[in-house]
Amino acid sequence: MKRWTFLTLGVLVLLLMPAALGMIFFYAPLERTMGVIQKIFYFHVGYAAMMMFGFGICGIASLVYLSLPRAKADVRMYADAIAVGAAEVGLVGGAGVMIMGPLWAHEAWGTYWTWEPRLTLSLVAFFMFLAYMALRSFSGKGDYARVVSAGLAVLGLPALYFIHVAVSKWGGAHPRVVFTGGLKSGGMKETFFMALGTMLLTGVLLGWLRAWVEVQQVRMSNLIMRVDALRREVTDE
Amino acid sequence: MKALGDYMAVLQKDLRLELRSREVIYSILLFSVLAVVILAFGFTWVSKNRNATYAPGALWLTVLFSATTGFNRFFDREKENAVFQGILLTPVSRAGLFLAKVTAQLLFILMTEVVFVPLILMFFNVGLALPGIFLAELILGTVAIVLVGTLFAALLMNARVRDVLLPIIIFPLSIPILLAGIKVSTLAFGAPLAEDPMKWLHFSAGYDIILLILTVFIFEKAVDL
Repeated sequence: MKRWTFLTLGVLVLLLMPAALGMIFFYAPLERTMGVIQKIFYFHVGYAAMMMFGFGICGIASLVYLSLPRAKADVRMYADAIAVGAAEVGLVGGAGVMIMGPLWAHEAWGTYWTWEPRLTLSLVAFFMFLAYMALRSFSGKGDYARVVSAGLAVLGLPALYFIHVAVSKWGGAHPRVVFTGGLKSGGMKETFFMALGTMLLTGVLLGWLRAWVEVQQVRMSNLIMRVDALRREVTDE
Repeated sequence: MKALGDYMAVLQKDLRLELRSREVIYSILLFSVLAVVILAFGFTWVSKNRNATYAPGALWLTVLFSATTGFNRFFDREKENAVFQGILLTPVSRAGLFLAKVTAQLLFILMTEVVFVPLILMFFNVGLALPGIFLAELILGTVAIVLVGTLFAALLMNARVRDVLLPIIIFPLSIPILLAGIKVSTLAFGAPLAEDPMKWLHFSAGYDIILLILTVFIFEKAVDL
């Protein structure tokens, strides 16, 4: 059942991806002032959504992981696996945002970088989850590394909220086209939502895959421990 | 009540140890004074009339960097002879233990700030227009950095690459406090009062309270794994 859902999702992404690319490059009209550079927008927003959803889900899953008692080992294992999957997808999205954003900004605003609320927030969020992955990889194996990195993810969410509040007080200039009535010209809106949906589905697919690998690793190490325990029993007798 | 007793006991132990060895305070102090001198050298050498612009940034960078160097020194002591594991084996209240560590580290850093903050005022040649608000923000900001730093320094005590991991964790989590701190210091150093510094103090206090709740929660979960 789960395998079929996963496979269906995979086939859906395989079909949607070329369709979305086709719409971006052949269906959506050229923007009048920015020209072809505006097409970054269809990728940029998708990557940004991947990043923010990824980090949000990672934080919430980590909180669930930390809050549950140890007796619920099964649910905790899944929560932790979801947290890793979401964090890695978020990092891929963040890398995309950090590469494409400045390129687009240079063409549209004339500068690669400004300390504008959403840029600042994205950059700090990206670094925070880079630290999360570093912590996970370098602070040893097992439950301890999981708890410590989950702690960082849990602290990350309020920190990002406070950064958002703080930099908003300084004011900003990020375009808010989609939900304030921009994108009126024919074909742009459809292309935008097609691209966004495809990116998010791809993110779900990749995150799912990563979480599944994590679950298999935990099960494998549990099995190895049980085999060791059994072997010790046998040799003792 | 037991938590309070444990808190006092651990705090006394840490303060007494520091009083005898003085290694944490000395290392933070030396580092911070040198950092102030280098920052002042870098920022005020050429552009003498922009000192007030650079002073807030220099101040908060020094606080952040010197605090970060302190965390490693502080927990080196707990690593020798597995002291920290020993403490954890006793039925000590976890919250009390953590908060005692936070208080001790906070006191050490505040003591060094007594020395290097006047140095910054002197080198950058800025006056304090709002001393009360400035001090409150300095303490609130230091509390936030110490809460995060103590938590991860304690949890990563035995990690191989702790020296690398600690800054990359502390710096992003300190950004809210850096933003508020730089804003308040700019106002306190005599910039025209375009906005109310109190709202930034409330912001910092709010961040401190959330960090306090979450760090105690995470510490309790992690040490009793």
